[in-house]
Amino acid sequence: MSAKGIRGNPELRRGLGSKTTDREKIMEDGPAGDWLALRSDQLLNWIDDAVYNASEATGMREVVDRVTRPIFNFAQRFSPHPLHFGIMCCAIEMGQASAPDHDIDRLGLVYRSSPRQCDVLIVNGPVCEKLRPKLKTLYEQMPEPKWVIAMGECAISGGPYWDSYSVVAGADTFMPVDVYIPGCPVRPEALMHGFLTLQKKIREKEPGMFLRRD
Amino acid sequence: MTLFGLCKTMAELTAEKFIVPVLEFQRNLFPPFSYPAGDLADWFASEGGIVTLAWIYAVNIAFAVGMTNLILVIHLERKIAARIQDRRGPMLSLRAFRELGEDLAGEAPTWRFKGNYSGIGIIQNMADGIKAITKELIIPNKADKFLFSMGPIIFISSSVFLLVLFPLSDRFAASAAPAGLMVIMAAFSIAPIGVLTSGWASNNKYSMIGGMRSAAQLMSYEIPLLLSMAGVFLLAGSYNPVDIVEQQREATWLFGLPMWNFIPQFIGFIVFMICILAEVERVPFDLPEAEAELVEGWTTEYSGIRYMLFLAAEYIRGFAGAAVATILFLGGWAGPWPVPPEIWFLLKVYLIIIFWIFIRWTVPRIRTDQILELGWKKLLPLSLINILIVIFMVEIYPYFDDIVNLPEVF
Repeated sequence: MSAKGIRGNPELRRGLGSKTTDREKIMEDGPAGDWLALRSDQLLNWIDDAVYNASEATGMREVVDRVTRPIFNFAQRFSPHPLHFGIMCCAIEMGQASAPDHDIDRLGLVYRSSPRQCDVLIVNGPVCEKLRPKLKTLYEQMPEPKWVIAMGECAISGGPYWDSYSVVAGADTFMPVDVYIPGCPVRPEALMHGFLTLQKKIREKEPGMFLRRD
Repeated sequence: MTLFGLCKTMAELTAEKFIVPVLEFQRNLFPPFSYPAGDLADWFASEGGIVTLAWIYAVNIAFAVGMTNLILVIHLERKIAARIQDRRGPMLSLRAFRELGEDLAGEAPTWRFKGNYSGIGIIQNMADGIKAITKELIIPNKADKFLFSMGPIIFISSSVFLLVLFPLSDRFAASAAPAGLMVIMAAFSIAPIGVLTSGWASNNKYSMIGGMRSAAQLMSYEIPLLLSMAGVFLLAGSYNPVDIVEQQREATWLFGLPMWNFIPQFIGFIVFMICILAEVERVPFDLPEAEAELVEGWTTEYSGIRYMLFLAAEYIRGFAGAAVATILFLGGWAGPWPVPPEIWFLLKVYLIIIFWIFIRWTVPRIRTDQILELGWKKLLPLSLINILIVIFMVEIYPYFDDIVNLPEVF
């Protein structure tokens, strides 16, 4: 499954195991005129729909998007907060990238320990079968918009363990990967270049819209 | 000209030129709309309405000044931390705005990575903040949804409230409460309730431990903190920050040098600095969010703007704590003439904050089982000794009248 497929598909973007959202339930209920009373979340959804429809109909959404998209995109690409998560020897290089010689804090990176507060997941090592569900969970715990960097040969294709019985052949077999950084292990300069490439990709691909709609 | 006087002039101008004419127009427009508009016009023309409007202006100006300082404090923290580790810290430059300009104008994108990262990084805060707005707000499925939303509100509002409570000088003050410092300490102690609430509501064991640690920390440090402040209140005879700074400005000792409170009450100063460090949850007392032990402490489950506002509120608390320390012990805005008092005040506050940043990268974190012992067995007796010294000093200072001069307050 390609990365673009997962990004564009709302069913898969919502992640595994999620129920239908309240908005979808309300959509099934019927038109707005039939309701006599609204719960607070229904009211919020109704306002959400009304604002969306009105802005779409008047063309206001295009105008707002045109202004807010570059600003939000600017903020997103200049402030990537990666998850502080290390698997194998590439994690040592990830630490080295933060050290004085290759100061990756210059690019605005702050390593956060909680996946709730991260934008970028760096897969830095071979993903074995036992780790795969945990890594998938970490990816799903991160808030949208989020990106994944596959760092090193093991995360790209399995590397030296490509035909092992216990190692997954690449991180992109189970999650969308945005940037691949080759190397065994990856040099800190290459990791920095990977983040600059991610910036480039965010600027070109990520909509960064004000009014999001799946 | 005080801040309130300036705001009152502005309020009179806006009420006279803008608000009252608009409301009068609405009163005369059409009967159904005239009922609240007419009363409002009368109210804004009266003294009470103008004073209320002036207070709104004053509070907003103090809030804006505090928020500007917040940006500077976060920037200082990151840059000094980087310099201590022989790094350079965030370097995002103003030139990065050229990319934003290209995108807004719809031009073809160009890539200037070298130019983007050759500044001092003051834009980095802006990028972080705007990014936090665009992030998804996650509420965990099994969390207590009401309390999960209430925790940030309690913590952040009580922290932002602090910004308008301390004066920058006797003329630049949004709040002139006679019990000013008591109100500040009361606002300081609301926040642990928010921490405990959000830690419990997250339904996460690390958040829970972080919240409980915050409560334990409150129990062990609030009492020595207030007792170490009692000496200053005894000397000044008032809770009002303006009175306290006036007392320090007038008190002199050897060679007519000013005797700021940290000279006679050095023990109280040390105790207060340790306790306020624990109060604002900075290293070495950041037990509630110990990154090495608990994932991110009580903020683990918070994402997006909530997390970023938590971070900002902690720095606001740090700034307010340094301001309280300056008012109580470092002479507030007292200083030689050519520099304005507000600048003196901010210089002293930033000195304390830079000292805290140095401490952050120097000392290890205190252990959980040591924190009650330190608070109750060491800091509490020391603060009581400080009060005894102050009482003794007030009693005997007439015998050393040629050296020490204290203003008479009682």
